[in-house]
Amino acid sequence: MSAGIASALPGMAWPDEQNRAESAGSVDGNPLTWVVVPAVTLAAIGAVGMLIVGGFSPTSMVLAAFVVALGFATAFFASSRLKAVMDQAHVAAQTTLKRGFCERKPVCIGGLDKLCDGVLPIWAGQIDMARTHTEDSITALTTRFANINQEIGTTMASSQGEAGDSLIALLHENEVELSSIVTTLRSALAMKDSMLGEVTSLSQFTDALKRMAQDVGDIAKQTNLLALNAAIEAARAGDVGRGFAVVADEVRKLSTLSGETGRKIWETVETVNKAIATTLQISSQYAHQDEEMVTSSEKVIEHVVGRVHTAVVGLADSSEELRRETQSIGEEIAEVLVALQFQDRVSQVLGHVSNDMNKLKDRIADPERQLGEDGMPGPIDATAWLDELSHTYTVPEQHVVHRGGAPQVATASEITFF
Amino acid sequence: MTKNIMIVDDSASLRQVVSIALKGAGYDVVEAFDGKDALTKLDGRKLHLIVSDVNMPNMDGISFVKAAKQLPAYKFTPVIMLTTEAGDAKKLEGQAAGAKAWVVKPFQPAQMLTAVSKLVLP
Repeated sequence: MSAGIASALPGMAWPDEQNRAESAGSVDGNPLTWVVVPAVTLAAIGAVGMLIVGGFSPTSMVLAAFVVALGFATAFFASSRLKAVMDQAHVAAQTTLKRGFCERKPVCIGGLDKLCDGVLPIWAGQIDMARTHTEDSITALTTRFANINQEIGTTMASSQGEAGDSLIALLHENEVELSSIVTTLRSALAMKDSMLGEVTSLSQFTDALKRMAQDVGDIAKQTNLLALNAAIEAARAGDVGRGFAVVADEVRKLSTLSGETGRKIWETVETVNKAIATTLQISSQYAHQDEEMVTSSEKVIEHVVGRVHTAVVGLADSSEELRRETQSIGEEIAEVLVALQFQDRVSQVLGHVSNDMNKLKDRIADPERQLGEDGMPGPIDATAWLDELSHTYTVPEQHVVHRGGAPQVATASEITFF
Repeated sequence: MTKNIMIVDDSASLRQVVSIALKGAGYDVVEAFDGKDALTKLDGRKLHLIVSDVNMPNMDGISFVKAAKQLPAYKFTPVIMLTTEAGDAKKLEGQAAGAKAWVVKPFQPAQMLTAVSKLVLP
């Protein structure tokens, strides 16, 4: 018993008081010596005295025997009573001793094993419940997050990228086509101008034609006069000049004809000139209107193009903004994905704690396996227990806390390739 | 053609997180909750990569990888270990079992995807 208690509280200074208690209960072995021996001795002396006094008569022998018997009976009775009393005293002393010790050393708390038996499963149960709660809610949260993530992806893809880019391309095309309208109008005007230029240059030729027509007319007149003179000379020549008079006549006819032709040419040229003049006049009337129309069309187109351009730039800007937002959202999502991984760690740590609590409860409830030689429950080796616990760890922070350090939040580390 | 990746881990929330990261990058994902369950799912389907935890009930990750490498259909399937364990001894065990990379939790999605794209079968 003493060995059991001493080893249950290792490192304690126990010897003196214990030994005193023990020795108080075992005076060289048998405490009953002081009762049995005197009683028997007295009985023997009494018996002998009676024999001597009675002179070894039968009566005295019977009485002596009776005295001896009485002595033994008394010894037996007294010793058993004394033993009982001593045992009680011994037990009382031990209890007082133990209680005294327990009051001085806080490790030995009465009722601790009963408390552990009751509270450890409750603690373990609460931890398991907390673990299940967080596992379930984080799993649900992660599912919702996955859905949101997917929706964001779909929205981003549809609002930016293809649709936006093709719209911008379309608007650019429109810009180019509108600008080309102005160019076409302008070149139409330019062609008209150059055509009018050609027409104007025609009038140079008509002037020359008029002069030539005039010349023809003059030549016809001269030829006529010449023919007249020739006819007069032919008449003066008489018969000899008759042939010549015919020729002169023919010449006069020819000159009249060419005079006519000259006049016709003149008239035609006049008509052409008039037509050219009219054309130029009408053109110059409309030229002003044309210029105005083209200029105003140009302005309208410029305005439209300007607005389209602003819209395109605005669209490109918001597209760019959207791209930046998408990237930043992507970064946020990556951070969330790292944070959600902590549920797994927490679950592992809580699982180990709960298991160890159950292990301790089992150990306390079932100490028969580890009885000491005196029949008392064996001690728990705390060092071995803690060592076993540290071997169950799967998360690095557990080792840090085990050694009494302050755990740091784990951050993503680099990847090892084999 | 979409590539298939298997994730083996006893934590449902962690399987989900890996799934989100991989699906976001265009992979299809198959989930298993321990080594035994994973082996039943190695039923001949085409897998381009396996990501496996180490500490799991019923059959741990290292044993699972060893068993998977015995199957002819999956002998050349690359395996990435994903675990809280960071010790060199465990890493050597993983390498010996046939894993191609060791990722310590928590993982950054971008880094994980880089490793996956490096190792995944074409």
